[in-house]
Amino acid sequence: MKGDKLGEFEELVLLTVYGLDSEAYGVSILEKLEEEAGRQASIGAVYAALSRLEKKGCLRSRLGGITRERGGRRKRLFRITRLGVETLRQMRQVRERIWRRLDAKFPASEASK
Amino acid sequence: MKDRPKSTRQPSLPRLARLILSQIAAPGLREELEGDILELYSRRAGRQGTSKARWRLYWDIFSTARLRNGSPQPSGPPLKPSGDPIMTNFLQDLRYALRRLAKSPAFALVAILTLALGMGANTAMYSIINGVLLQPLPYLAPEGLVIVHTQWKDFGFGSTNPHEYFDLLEKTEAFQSVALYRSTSVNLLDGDGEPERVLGVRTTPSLLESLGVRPALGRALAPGEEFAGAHRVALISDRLFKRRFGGDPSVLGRKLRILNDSYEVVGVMPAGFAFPSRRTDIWTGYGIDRTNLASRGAHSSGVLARIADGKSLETVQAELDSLSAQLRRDFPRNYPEASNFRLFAEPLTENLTGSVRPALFVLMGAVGFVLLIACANVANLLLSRITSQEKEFAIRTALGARAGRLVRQILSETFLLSLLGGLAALLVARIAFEGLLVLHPQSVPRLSEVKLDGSVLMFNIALVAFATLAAGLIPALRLSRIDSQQKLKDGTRSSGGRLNSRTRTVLVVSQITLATVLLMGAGLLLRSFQHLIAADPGFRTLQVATARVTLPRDRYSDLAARGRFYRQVIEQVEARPGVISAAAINLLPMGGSTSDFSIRAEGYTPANPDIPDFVQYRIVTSRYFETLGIPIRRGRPFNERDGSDGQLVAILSESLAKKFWGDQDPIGKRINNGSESKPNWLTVVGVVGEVHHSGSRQGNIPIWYQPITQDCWSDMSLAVRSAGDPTLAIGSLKAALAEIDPFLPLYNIRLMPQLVAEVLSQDRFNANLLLAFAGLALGLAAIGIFGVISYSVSQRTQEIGIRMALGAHRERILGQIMREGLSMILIGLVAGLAGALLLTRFMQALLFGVAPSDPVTFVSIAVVLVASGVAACLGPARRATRVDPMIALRYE
Repeated sequence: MKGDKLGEFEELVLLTVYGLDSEAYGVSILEKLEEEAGRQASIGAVYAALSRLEKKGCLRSRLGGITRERGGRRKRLFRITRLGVETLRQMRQVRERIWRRLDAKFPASEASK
Repeated sequence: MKDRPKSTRQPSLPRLARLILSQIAAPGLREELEGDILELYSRRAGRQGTSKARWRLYWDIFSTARLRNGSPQPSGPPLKPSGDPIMTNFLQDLRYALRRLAKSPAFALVAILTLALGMGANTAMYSIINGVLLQPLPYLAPEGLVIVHTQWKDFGFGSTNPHEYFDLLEKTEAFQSVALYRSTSVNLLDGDGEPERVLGVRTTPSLLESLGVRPALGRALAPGEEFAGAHRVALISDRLFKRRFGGDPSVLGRKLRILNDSYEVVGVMPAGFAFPSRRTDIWTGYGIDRTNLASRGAHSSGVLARIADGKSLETVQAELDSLSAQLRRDFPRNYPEASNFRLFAEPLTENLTGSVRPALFVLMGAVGFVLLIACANVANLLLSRITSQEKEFAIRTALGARAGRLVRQILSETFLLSLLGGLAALLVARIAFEGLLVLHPQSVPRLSEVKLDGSVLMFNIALVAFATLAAGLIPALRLSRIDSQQKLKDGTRSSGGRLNSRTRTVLVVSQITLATVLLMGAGLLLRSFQHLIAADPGFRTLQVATARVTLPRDRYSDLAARGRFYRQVIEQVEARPGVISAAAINLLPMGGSTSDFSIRAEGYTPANPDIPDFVQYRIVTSRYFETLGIPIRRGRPFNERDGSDGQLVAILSESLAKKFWGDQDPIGKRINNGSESKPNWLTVVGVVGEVHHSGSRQGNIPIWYQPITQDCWSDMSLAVRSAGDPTLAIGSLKAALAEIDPFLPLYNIRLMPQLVAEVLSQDRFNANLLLAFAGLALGLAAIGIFGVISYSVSQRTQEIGIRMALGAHRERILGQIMREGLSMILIGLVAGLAGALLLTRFMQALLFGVAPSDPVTFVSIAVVLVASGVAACLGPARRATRVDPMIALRYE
């Protein structure tokens, strides 16, 4: 299953984890998503995406230390894997290639209509 | 106000949120998930306020329900296993079941409602049985309490008297304590409000001691206060204390005027205490005068006794039997050998509830049937669900799901349905019960003590377990036998449906069987009730109002004064507009009391010459027979001159005259109500029709009547027949009474039809309840039939389509479907009627005027059942005829 293609939400989550670097866990991912992508997601949806990404080998996780803020519960911290970074890059390249062609073909596409 | 600094407070989730989360979150994820959710919640609460944060909180929590256990590979340190794996699995199963049910809400709702009705009826019935029969009486160690009766041949249980009380006290070791009591109603003038009639009891101090009840206020009767000449003291009920004395403790020490004596109030009984009657309000000393007891032959008291420690009811009865034998030897005049006299100890619980026992057991059996039918319905629903999901199950089996897992899934679904049904059942029971209390307040003793308590809850839990097995087992077993190979090869259409529909047919047939038995039971009770209502009581009840008056003995000490009073009242009432006639009688028919008297008749020898015949005795005014419409068969009614010329007269009921003198003319013959040695002769002047004195179940009772000029009780009932509204007659009575003696309360005010209805209240209760249960059963069975037929039609849509395309007539299709339904109904009906023949025999005691195998009931029930069955089939059958062949053929 490794390197399987990503869904749109998964891609956003993976990007967010990448951006948060070593600080990526449920709450920070959720809030970043809201902030940057304007997406109101539920924690369950985020967890589901994280779990799929982990299965696909794009993420790795470990339990962090205890914090008072969380009533003594540990965080599960996520880190992007090399495969994850590669998958994101590939997706970006594909998109940019297509956009470049599209921009050449419809120079005024954004302004029309 | 103390405000702790925020930083030291550990944040936490609302308790409900934690609970839900612990139930739905996959255990492997719980720690980090809870942490994240808590963190989000406290941040949002800080930013947006708690109430907004709370909405998001629950949204988040429910969003986690989809997460599978431990999906992220545990790459960190191993998590500690949370809880017992069996419990975890069970909760998982439940979670899954909840999700499956949520996907088909209509199915879930129907199943839950069906179970709620079935279980609710059971819970309500059980709480009645629990309160009435199973709960101990509110007395200390009630199992040791007995009522001692005198028992006589051909008469059954009778009252006791002070002689026998002393015998029990002094000549046996059977009892730890013995109490004598005698109820009398008394006029109460003291306290707030109008003069009032209350029920008092004269008793011995041992009464409260035996019952183990102490006054809530003040003291109990002291030893010695039961004897005549002792200080006269009284205890009052909490009810009376609150109603008439405003709950003021200074009532202690007050004097109550009861009859012509004054009693000092020394105590107030605790709320809810009542003995011997639910309405007893005053307890006083008995006033026993041992040197001057009434004859041994008179019996009008009760004896309550507590069995001595370590003795069984049997040994006590054996001791009583030997005491009885001794009494028969010592007092042959009072206890002739031929009377089979003995003292009999009856447990108090049986004494109080014995009359309703058989009815309650029949009703409990009936609700059991209703539950079985409800379970069969749910099993049917589950089976049809399984059939539609067979492919899913087959695929899961092929992928390695073990049969046990699938069975568990079905059972947990059923469990969930039963659990929700059980919860709703508590509500149903509550409502049903409130309804019963409103409709039937008086028909069952102790009904007001019934409540939904812990034991009812336990019963409800047991019902949930039962329903889970009863409704879930058959579908689960069917499921475990699904052949996955067969199923997968089978294309899109399911064939296991055939096998399932056979199981479903069996279920429906058993539902019809059970419903038939219930309907038969209800039908028989209904017919009995009809007979009871239709039975001619021997007098006319319409337009008759009744009430009772008691005269204080000091102002109306002699017979003439009492007679004058009642005749005066009647004269006054009769003079009022709208009143046709009025009369007085010592005991009204259907009034609940009897009084018998031994009489001898001239020229008649009873079967046993030593025992005179005990005959019901009534004192009436001259227009009594006219007022109640009792026909004069021979001779004449009483008139004003009777008794004035020294010649005493009497009127007999028909059967009594016939018994004494056969076909001879009874007019002019004489009866003797004195003893053999000191006769008191009365000449028979008339013969009147029979009267059902204690209700139609008891039937005709021989009665002899005397005019009020020859005898008069101090308490008599008045009956007024009026032309118009009989309630107006009550007003006339009150006005007449106020004119003649304003200090006398009028009580037991009833219209005659009301009195008759009260006698039938228990029969009405039984009939209504069983009818309701049978109706429920019929409805559920009809739903079952409907379900199976519709299912069968939907399974055969294609087949029907092909046949119609090939030219089959609609009538033929309709006929075929109806035949299918009818054959189920008929098989169920026959089995049900056979079952009813066996089971209705246990209802014999409740029936009146119908045999348990009454053919009319059998036929009408069969008609009702077939009609409802056909109605249930008709819808699906008509749908079958509207199948469009083109659509049906394309239907895959």
